[in-house]
Amino acid sequence: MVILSIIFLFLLVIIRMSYLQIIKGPMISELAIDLWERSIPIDGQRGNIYDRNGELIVGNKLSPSVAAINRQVSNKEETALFLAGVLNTSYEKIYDHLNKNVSIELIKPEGRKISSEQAREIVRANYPGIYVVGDTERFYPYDSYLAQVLGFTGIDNQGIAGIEYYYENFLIGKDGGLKIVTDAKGNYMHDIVGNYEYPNKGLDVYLTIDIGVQMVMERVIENAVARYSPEQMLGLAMNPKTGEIYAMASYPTFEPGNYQSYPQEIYNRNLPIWMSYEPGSTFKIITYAAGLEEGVFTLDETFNDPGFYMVDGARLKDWKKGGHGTQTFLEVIQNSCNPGFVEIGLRIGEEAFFKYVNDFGFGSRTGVDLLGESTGIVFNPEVIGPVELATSAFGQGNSVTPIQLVTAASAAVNGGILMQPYILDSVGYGDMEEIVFRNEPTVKRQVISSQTSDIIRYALENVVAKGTGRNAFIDGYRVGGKTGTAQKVGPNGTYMDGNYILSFLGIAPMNDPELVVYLAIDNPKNTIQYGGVVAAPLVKEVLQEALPLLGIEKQDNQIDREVRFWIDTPFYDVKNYIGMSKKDVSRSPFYNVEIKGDGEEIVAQIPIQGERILEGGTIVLYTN
Amino acid sequence: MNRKVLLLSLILSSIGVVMIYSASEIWAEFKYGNQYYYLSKQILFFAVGIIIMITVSKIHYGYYYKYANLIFFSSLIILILVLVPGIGSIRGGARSWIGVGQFSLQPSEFIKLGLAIFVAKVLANNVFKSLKDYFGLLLIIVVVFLIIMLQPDFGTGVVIVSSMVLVLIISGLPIGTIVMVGVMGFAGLVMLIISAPYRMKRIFAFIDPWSDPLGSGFQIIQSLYALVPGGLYGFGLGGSRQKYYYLPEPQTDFIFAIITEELGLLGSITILIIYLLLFYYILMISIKSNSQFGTYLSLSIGILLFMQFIINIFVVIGLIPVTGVTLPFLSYGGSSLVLTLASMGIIINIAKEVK
Repeated sequence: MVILSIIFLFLLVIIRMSYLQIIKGPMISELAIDLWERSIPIDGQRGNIYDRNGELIVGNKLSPSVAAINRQVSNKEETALFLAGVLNTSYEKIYDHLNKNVSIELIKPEGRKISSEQAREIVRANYPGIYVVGDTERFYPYDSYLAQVLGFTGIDNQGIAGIEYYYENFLIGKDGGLKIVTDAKGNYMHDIVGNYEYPNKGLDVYLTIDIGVQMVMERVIENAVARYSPEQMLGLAMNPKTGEIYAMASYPTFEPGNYQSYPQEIYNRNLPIWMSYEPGSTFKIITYAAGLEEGVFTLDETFNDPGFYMVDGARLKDWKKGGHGTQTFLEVIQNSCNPGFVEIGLRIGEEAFFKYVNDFGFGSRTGVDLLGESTGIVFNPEVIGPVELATSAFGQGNSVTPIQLVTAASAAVNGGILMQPYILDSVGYGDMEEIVFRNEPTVKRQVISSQTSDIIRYALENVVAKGTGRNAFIDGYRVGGKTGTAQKVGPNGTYMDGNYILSFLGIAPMNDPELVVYLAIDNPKNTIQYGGVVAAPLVKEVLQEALPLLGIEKQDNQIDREVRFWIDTPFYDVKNYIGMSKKDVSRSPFYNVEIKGDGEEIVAQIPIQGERILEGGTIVLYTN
Repeated sequence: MNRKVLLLSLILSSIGVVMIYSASEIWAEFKYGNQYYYLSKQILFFAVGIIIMITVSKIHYGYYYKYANLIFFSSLIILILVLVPGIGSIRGGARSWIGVGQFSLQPSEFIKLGLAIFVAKVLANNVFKSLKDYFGLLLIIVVVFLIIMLQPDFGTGVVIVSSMVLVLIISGLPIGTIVMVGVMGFAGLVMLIISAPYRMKRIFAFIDPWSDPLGSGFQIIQSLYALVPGGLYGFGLGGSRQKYYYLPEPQTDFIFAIITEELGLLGSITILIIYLLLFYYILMISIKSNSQFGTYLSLSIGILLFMQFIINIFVVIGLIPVTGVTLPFLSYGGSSLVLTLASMGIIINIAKEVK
């Protein structure tokens, strides 16, 4: 019996030990390893950001960091003095780090992202307990391009703004670490090898951006800034069928790697989605679409413009002194004739008109996957009277964001479907190895019929071919578009004198729109304040370079029915008029020269030098 | 059989010397600046222990019968003396040591042997049948237990009481009494535990050590961290991590944890089998002894050894609360090793006269 009891107790011991080993083993071992090992963290690299074609926009570069296992630091004073010298910081700061009661202290921010020279110096000095760990920081091959969209990361490689913040969950990496086995006092146990736990890289984000188009837009903006010294500029390029954003630019801009040196208004404001202002004539596309959809006019119907329109006792002036006279409604949009649009607006009526305004997405966010989008301001239905309706019809009174305008215009020309704009194309991992998520276009609603959309495309192509948008005309590409000249509202609520936002919204090709480009320039100096003069050539430049980049081919059937006429009619090279005095301007029997303004010297011209003009066409000269 | 007991005792003690060095080198270096501090002392104890074991094995065990009362009462007096401040000194919270400086003894180790001899003599002289017959012995056992609890040395007290009661049961203590003694013992334990809150904490700690990982659960957690990660084969001799200041005094109560960490589950099971063989031979000697006294003396010594062994192992593997009992042969400690070897000497001597 005694022997049996002893054997029973023995078996109990063996069962218990096996139970600990097999059942509890993994849990206890993990806890024990946690106890023994000090981990020197190694940041998991963030995923890369690519454009739609896999061009790297944001990558990573190595940047070492300093970590201390304080219990191993034998001489804190001496070590702190040395580190403070190498890291160019104060002795006290480092000394504080070294005296923190933690198993491992990252010397940050002082020792974060140091140069390789500093790292080499620290490694060579070999102070006990001081470690240099591999770390990475963001690297921007295109410097400040796309900056407000991309955003930036903080000291711990965490996304703080822009895509970096919005898609943090995709981009963030899983930290790894160099595990060192230590004793209970924190000393390094030299004879026991620690593990190296590999950090995992975050997922890569592919944007709908085409970096080629982006570069074109940024360069155009840079040149325009140099020429016109505007307060602000913004550009937006989008696929009108899908809502994919090809390019998005803001001026003034910043370098994401060095964002701290810029005021927060610059890095926090992604102008194409943040800024809202009265759009001016570009909004007429919406009025035109609503009128056509409601059937309140036809293109060949005539309208007489005396130069103003009396609404409820208010005299709403046309931009052209004396008006455009009798014209068709096609010519109304070609000429951007304000009274014509007042007529369209009044014919539609308040309720229907503002239903279209809302349906086209104004007054609410587009839902683009970017931070900091504004809603814009649409007239409160309770205060809308005939005057508000009339001004809204030609683009004043309501304030809209560029992305709302571009999305709405896209709906007007793409067959009538309002798309949700987006910038995330797909998510992948392993340096373009595999795609794990692909974003799809989102349809919001059908706003107008595709038949109406067909007519708008025809009308907008005419605006560029024959009207105020002709500075955006490109041989071989069927460009359509609309100019915009919006007076800015000052701090006191009234329009500011001589302070405009000039814009142009260009679309191509008009038989099957593939690209919308919108550029706006806020308060340009030294120029005539017309969108057609300043913004249209800029959009033309972007379109001209961007269309081939996107693989869109030239066509030879511009302006469907009038193509014969265009080809058969002789062209004349336009010479330079700028700088000439009014009386020296020579007339030609083949084309008209029209001078606008009361000044003596010519300061601008449409079209510009080097372009061609059709026989019977008009060169418009603007005086100072 | 006497040779087998000798051999197994020497094997276990030698393993003890090696493992004490491995377990203690870090603490020894830290506390005394000498990594061989505990090793050198244990080698000395081992040498003294071998001499005493061989000497004792030559003394006929009949002398213990003759001087049983003297041996028991002198060890009882030393046990009482240790409680007197100035004579007894405090180590690790208990006044369990007597003597000065380098040379000091643990009287509780002596009383184990003294009590075993006394009980064996009384059982050999009488044929006990009823509880009344056993009353005197039970009273003496309880008195010894209470004196030890004054130090306090709960672990040794429990080892002595449980072993001696077990011996009495084997000798014929009635079952009803066993139950009663069990209940009384349990009630006593409960009272003792309630009277000292730290014992309460220790109890909770063994059920869920992670409820108080830095306090009462600390030792058990550290013990588990040594027992488990080594796996089947261990980290190899000298490869313990827990001895690096994680497990307090790894060379004493928790040496079995370090052994398992370094030698693995297989190594520690091998050592358990060596113990099992030793207990088996001691029981055989007890059964085959040609005198009643020899039977009861070897039984008492064997069961004392076994109880101390099993309580230590149960503590290390987290089956019972931490009690502060060393592992015979393997744990560091002079009094423990020398007297354990001396008692093996007695067993060897008894074995010489088996039928």
